[in-house]
Amino acid sequence: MKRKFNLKKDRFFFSLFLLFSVIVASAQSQKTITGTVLSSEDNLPLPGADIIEKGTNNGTSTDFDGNFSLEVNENATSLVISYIGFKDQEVQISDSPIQITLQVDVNALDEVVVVGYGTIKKSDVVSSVASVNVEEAIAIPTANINEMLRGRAAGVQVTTGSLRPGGTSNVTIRGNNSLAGDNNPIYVVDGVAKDDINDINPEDIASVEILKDASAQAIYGARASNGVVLVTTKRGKEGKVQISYHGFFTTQSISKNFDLYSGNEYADLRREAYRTNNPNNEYESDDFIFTEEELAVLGTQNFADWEDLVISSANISSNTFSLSAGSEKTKVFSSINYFKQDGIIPSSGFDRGSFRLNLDQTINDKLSLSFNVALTTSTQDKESSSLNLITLSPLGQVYDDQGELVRYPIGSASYTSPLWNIRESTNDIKANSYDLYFILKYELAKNLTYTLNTSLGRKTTDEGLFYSPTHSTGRNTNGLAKISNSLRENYLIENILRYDNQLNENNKLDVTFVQSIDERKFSTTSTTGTDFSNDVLGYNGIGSALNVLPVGRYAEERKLLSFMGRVRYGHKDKYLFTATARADGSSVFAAGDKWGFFPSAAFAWKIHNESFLEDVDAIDELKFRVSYGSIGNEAIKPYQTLGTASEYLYVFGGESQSGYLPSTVLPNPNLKWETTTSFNIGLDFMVWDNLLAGSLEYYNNSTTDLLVQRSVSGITGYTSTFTNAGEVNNSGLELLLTANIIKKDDLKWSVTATYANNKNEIVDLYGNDENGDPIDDTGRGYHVGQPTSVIFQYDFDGIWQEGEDWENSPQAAANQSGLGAGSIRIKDTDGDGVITADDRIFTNPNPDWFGSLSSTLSYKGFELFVDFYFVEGAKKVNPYLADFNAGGTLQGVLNGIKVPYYTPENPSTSYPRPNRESADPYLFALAVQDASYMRLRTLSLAYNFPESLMSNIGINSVQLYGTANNLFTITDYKSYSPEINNDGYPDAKAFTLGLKVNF
Amino acid sequence: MKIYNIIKKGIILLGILIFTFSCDDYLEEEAITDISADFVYNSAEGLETGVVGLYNFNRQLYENGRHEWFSSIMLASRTDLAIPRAGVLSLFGKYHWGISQNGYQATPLMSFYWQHYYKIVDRANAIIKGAEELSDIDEVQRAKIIAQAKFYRAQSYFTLYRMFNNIYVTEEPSDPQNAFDVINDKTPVDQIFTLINSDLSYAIEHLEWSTPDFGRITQGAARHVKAKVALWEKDWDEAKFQSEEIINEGPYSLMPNTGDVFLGDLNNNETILAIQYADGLPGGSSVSMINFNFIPRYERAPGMKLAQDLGGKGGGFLLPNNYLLNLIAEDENDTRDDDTYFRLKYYYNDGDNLPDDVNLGDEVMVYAPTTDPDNPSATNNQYYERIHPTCLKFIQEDNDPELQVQISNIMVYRLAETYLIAAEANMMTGGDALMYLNAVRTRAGAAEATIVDQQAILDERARELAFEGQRWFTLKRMGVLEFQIVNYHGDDYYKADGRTKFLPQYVNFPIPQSQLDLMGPSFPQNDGF
Repeated sequence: MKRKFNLKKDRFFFSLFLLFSVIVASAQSQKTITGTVLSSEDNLPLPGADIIEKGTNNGTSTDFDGNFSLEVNENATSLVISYIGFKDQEVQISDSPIQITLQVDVNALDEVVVVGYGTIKKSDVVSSVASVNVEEAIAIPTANINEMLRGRAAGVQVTTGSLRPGGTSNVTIRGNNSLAGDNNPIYVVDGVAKDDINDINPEDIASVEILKDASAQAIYGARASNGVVLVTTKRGKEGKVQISYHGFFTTQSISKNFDLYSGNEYADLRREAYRTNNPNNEYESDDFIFTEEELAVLGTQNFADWEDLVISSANISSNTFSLSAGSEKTKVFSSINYFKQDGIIPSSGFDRGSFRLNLDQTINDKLSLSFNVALTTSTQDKESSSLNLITLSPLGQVYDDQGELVRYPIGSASYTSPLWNIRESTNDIKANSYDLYFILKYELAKNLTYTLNTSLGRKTTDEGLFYSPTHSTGRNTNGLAKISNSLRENYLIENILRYDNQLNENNKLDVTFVQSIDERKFSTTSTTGTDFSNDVLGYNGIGSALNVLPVGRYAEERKLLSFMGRVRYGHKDKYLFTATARADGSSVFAAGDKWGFFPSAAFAWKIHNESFLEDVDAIDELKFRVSYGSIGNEAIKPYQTLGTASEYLYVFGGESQSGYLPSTVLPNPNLKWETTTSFNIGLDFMVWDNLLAGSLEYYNNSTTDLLVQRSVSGITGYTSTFTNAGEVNNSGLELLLTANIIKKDDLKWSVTATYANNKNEIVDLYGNDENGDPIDDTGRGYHVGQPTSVIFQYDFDGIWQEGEDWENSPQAAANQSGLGAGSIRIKDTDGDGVITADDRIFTNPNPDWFGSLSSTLSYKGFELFVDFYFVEGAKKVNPYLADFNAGGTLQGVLNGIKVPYYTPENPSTSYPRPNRESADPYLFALAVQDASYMRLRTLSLAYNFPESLMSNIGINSVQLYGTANNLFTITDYKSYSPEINNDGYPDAKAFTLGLKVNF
Repeated sequence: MKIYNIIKKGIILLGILIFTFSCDDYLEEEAITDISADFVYNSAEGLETGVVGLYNFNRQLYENGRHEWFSSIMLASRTDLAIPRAGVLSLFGKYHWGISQNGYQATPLMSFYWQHYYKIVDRANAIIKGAEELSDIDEVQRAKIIAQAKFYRAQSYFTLYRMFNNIYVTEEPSDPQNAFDVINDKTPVDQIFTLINSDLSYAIEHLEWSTPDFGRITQGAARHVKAKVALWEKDWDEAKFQSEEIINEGPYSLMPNTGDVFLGDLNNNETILAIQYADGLPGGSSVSMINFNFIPRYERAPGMKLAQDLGGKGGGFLLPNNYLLNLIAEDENDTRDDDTYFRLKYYYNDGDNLPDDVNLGDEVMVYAPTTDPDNPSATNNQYYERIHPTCLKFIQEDNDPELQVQISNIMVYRLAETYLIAAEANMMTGGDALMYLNAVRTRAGAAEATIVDQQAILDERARELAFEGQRWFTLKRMGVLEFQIVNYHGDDYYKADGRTKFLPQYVNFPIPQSQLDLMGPSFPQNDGF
């Protein structure tokens, strides 16, 4: 509104000016040009657009119907048409009437950002808020919204949680703050905190903002100390009805960077392992080391490739219809989506149907109402557990002579075929959820608004699990069926008062007061039955179990009561201040310690609006920001302060008796808030007419009164207790850079890079001991001066080779059994001549930096999007190189990741000699591996059919696209994915074909 | 304007409501489905469930899957009767692991023992204190609760002391205030034994000889442990008194045949205390895996298949050695190696896959051990892995032969040991030791002994009680642990590492450094570590 008002004023002066020009120029010979100016947005006339004869002051403006008429010099060749909010356009003069369509000028500075309890212009943002490009984010065909955030904002680290269809990923914003509490951000969807973000259809998302410093997070206070992901869903707009369709189809196939031992290689490994234990260093006879079944397979050379047998390519499909419509008073957005993903392990999959209706109704000048309804129903099918497809011996028979599946491929009942286990198990989780929002806004007085924000969310799940009596797990109990039901509820009531006033030309004040009640409840009931005479009904036949175990029941609830006040003040559009204070009371803390008070303040200076920069054309924006404040974390489970007992039953003479005792965690009735205090300093810039834009931020977060599970001495009878202690520090640098290299109408090219590093350190834990040394918690892996999740292992130093003097080595001094050529060599890091636990070294698992590089190139109707993701300097322990059950011990008992192991004939310098009887004791030192990687996450090509072609058949726009995800990954880490070990669900490459239509 | 005023008033009213309705009441927390520790320790009903919890805690020694299920037989692998053949258990057995406070791989198991027994102690402390302070409880019920808790406290401290030597003893339950107290010194030995003896005396006084709940602590179990404590203190009169009370006054008798002792659920006349399981019942169906460690891999021999009467599936990680087998073989009529406690031979049982030239039921003789180091047997490894004699005391007769795990009762104390305690105590006090010694021998079909000395007691204990969990303590108590290990551990030409690896300090286990760090820098480690 304000803009239009100014425009009119400008036009008045401009018209006066034109009047003079016309008079001055009237002496020359003239011709008359007529035409119409339209908006590209809706093809409607633009009244008041300015038309100037190029190179002169001669001009006019359009009337109410967008028409103009201008007398110009006969020699004039072109006109310049301008209108605020649209790009200037130059047109050739012709004798016939000209029709000019102005393109909307999207100025990045005028974008609106959601910051919690309202939106503000991006240029007015004071705290650290990152906006996610939703278009780019949802280019990943998944139901996992966290995964979509990967690489889309600096300082937001996404690590794979579960790649299973319906699985989720972990988001860490600016490092891990908490030791015992969780480190996940909270998700606020349309103003309401939600536990499970994956219920949301990505297509419904209008914007995603990430709040990174205390000043921004303060709005959502408790639970916000690990950052906030603000999701806003689409709403209807005033204008004509728009119906859209988006569908895609994806095929996935396994991606990996390691080999397993083939049948003969595996046999050789076992022969070597036995040879090592042979006193004469001779190979044992095959008859001794292989079972009859294995010998048979070795004879036929018909080996089993379990990975290949189990994993197959699988499809994803998604279809969404959405509708957006609105009149002056009523606006509607609605969508319906069905997403279906089959897993690359058969019998796993996920499907989800979702429906959303967002309705805004203005009742009168003062009162307006909004309703959101979101319904989701999903089914997750999980594959059988204990699928030993990596570790199962290839010397197995998959099918028998009749073509029937073999249950025990290598003869031993310890190893069941994964194909058998897949066939003999079912595990479905069906979930239904609904979220209802009701929002009432009432203008109490001029500039003073009251908002009532309420929501109710419920999610029920129904899980059925069945292992038949021949499944490797079901066998122990002659079949097992388990049915569990759970219910999650959340309620929110917020009373919001807001006073927003432009006091005068130079001063703007905005005050918000919020009072909120937030309750979350969870309950679950489960029944387990064993001993089945038949398995035809699966878990639905639980009634026929001959043995039904007692019903299990668990329920919890947590409550949060908060008061928040925020004052925003702007002076001359140059200096912006925000101060926030909140008090939070949480039920999970001890009586007397339930309340926490958390203040914060922020300041921004729009330097580009200062007089000394106003005339510098190169600088579009230069803004300096600084903030400081604290936020609480209540991320512990309910009832930790109460002291509860667990069930420890016993049987006497075949009869059960009830037993309860406190478990291994000593109850502490004195727990209070953990507080994160953060300092943030940032610079936002945009130069050369948005050729280059970005922001640079430095932060330093300190978390005190850590909720920590501290180890206690064994003589207490407990292993740990929850307590408030110590301090964790996270500091880092974040950079976001966007270069709009080419900005022509037909050809556009922009490149965006994000970079973030984070240094995580435990500054203090439990104080110092009598000698003044800091007290570590070795049992929990907490060491003062080290990151929170540090790797503490021996220092791998290669392999002992023939002729080297291992007999006088520090390892021999430590009485290491079986030490010899082919053993792992460990550095005596403290130089005391003997390997002890003190020789272990710290390895930081966190990446030195991580980031992304993406490029968007559009030429006419084509758009090419490329997105790389980088993680540099991360370290991980790979159990598949060290753990027995993961086939990492080179004993020839289980198959595993193929490595060039040591043999006397081929002395390896990187892997030890196989040993049947006992694995090398230092394999875990070897297993500390570099998990850095670079991945081409997305490569997408889209084509937008020409509008002219489409409008004839009543369609606004059509886009066809093809996307490839995870096309390649460069890493040394041997796993299906460098972020997840092979005990997780395998990672996949995906190829997608999609279609978007707007009617 | 009217509506505006109403709404304004409404909001003010709402605000007042919110502030007056007490915040702290709203935020008060009450567990919905969990039993509170307060209920367990401060009500008669709760204390009864707490005592049952102690039985469960005590049983966890047998269910510690993290350490390949051998926590309860680790000590057995370190005795003079054992061949630690393979598996991680053998690394402990061969004195490679568990010999240093910092042993990276072994420390978790050492910490497990330390934490396991102290966990029982602390909960027993809390139950005793709760029961003593509770006003609303029947006196007999109170005494029975305290008696069982005191039995477990005494037994746990006794085991802790025998394993770790330098221990700290307290009767105070832990709380967040005392949990971080720095513990600077061990408790003097006489104080430890004063508490153990007073606890056991209380248990003897307040418990009955018999109980309808088989597996509950009885007066007999308390007297049995008190006798063992007395032996340790060389209080021979007390050991004699307690053991003879059990034999003469208790409801026990030796089973007529050695073959009956370990049959079925062990709920027989000889059993004084057995760990209880029951398949399919809540609190009874957790699994253990002791038997798997003993039974060899006989099914790998051609012509053999898994059979439950042979013990089902095994790994053959812990085997009886020739020293033990020879002790039993001294008397050829001794039934203890007649497939009762031990099996010596295997016979072909897989008619479908018989090798040439043998018949079903023929003895499996294709493998032989090395008897001359200069002329090693080519099938030595196969012999030990597949058909070496084995211990049968932990078989679950009705198990699926292909299962590694089992759900069956485990013997802890039985009358045969009481007889041998009585024999030793009488020997030291000039009583009729032979009567008690020969009761055990006669039952096993062996000839009566005519002389008795410490070696005779030791040897008879080996024949009768091998692998039941007592041997290592007995050797340590008699001061012969080093001698027996150095001379007899393993077999002469197979897995005898312990003979050379053993060092005098190994009579104690090292206290894990991680535990010392948590107690205080000056708590004393055992000598030699």
